[in-house]
Amino acid sequence: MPQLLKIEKLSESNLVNTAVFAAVWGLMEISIGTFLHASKIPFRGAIMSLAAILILVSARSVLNYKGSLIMLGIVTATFRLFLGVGFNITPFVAILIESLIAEITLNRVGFNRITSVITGAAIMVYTLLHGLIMQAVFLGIDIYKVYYELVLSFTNKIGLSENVVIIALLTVPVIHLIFGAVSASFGYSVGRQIQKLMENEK
Amino acid sequence: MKYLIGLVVLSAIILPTKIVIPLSIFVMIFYTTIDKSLLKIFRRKSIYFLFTIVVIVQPMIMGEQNNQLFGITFSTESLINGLGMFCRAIVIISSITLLNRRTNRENIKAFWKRRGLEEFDNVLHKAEEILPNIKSEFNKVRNENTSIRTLLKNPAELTAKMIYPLLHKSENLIANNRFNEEIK
Repeated sequence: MPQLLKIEKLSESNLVNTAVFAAVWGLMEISIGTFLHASKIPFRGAIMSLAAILILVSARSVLNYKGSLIMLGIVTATFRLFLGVGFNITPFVAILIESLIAEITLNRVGFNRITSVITGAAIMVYTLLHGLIMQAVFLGIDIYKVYYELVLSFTNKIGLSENVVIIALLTVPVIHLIFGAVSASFGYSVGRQIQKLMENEK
Repeated sequence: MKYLIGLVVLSAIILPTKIVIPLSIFVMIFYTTIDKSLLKIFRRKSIYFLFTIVVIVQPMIMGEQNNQLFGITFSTESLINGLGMFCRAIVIISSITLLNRRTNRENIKAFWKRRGLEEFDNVLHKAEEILPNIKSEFNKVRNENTSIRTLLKNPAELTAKMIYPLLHKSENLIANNRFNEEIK
């Protein structure tokens, strides 16, 4: 069987630190994820993605091996699969893809505040698409036609113009992008603070 | 069994609606004989919400309105299409749930190991060890920094202080140097 990832023996510090960030992210997924799942708050996935961005970006400042963020994502996704409530396969997929995006941008392109912000924005774009992709998998691509017709018939009934609808629909991704960028920038600051604490201890 | 479930999911995705509807009935009967709790899917409110959207509302707004029931006109084609979508979702969700229930940790560990993640098992085991300590460590830092002013002044520092005690301190010099170089 082909080996898609090749992450060999880790040093003790890399192993422990990956486990720490995976445990923190896993705890967030289980506690906040369970709360959000039960409360049925809209944009639950986006809220969880903001937490994921924060963890992934701050973890990158400590983890210094290629594939670290994928390893982090896989361990967290496994936690979510076995410990989370509800239907766990969609969050499982989301965590894996989020960590893959972070791995590509932060570990392969470079790590600084700009790439962190780009990562945050990219993860939030994926979060928006995730729901649509999963619905197409479960219900078929005809569901988009259903949603389009529903929105059209609703807006026609309340007399909204097409421009207002387009602006309203565009606001959602823009807000997602802004929040993603802010969360990534905050994660980068957290990473720098962790580094400072490490320097101070020496 | 996992290949059969895979085949069922694939069939539900690629087969035309008219075949998916009877197939889903057959599949759900088969799944129920394996695991009765799969029927709990019908207790979920979200399933009825989905049913309302794709099976009830969709035929009333989409397609040629060629039929009538209780004075409400609807499209037969859209109704069949909606039923197909609903059945497909039920089959896929049930299949994944069944697969999830039949997969244990050992399968997952072996799966990732085969794909080159040699240390997956060790990291997962370590993370499970750390998990119960996180809450107490977080609370300790939070109690030390009770003022809202501290939190608002530098939330990044407070968050870092929460994570830092859990981290492995040695061998971080390499990461530290690389990080600083990249910042410059």
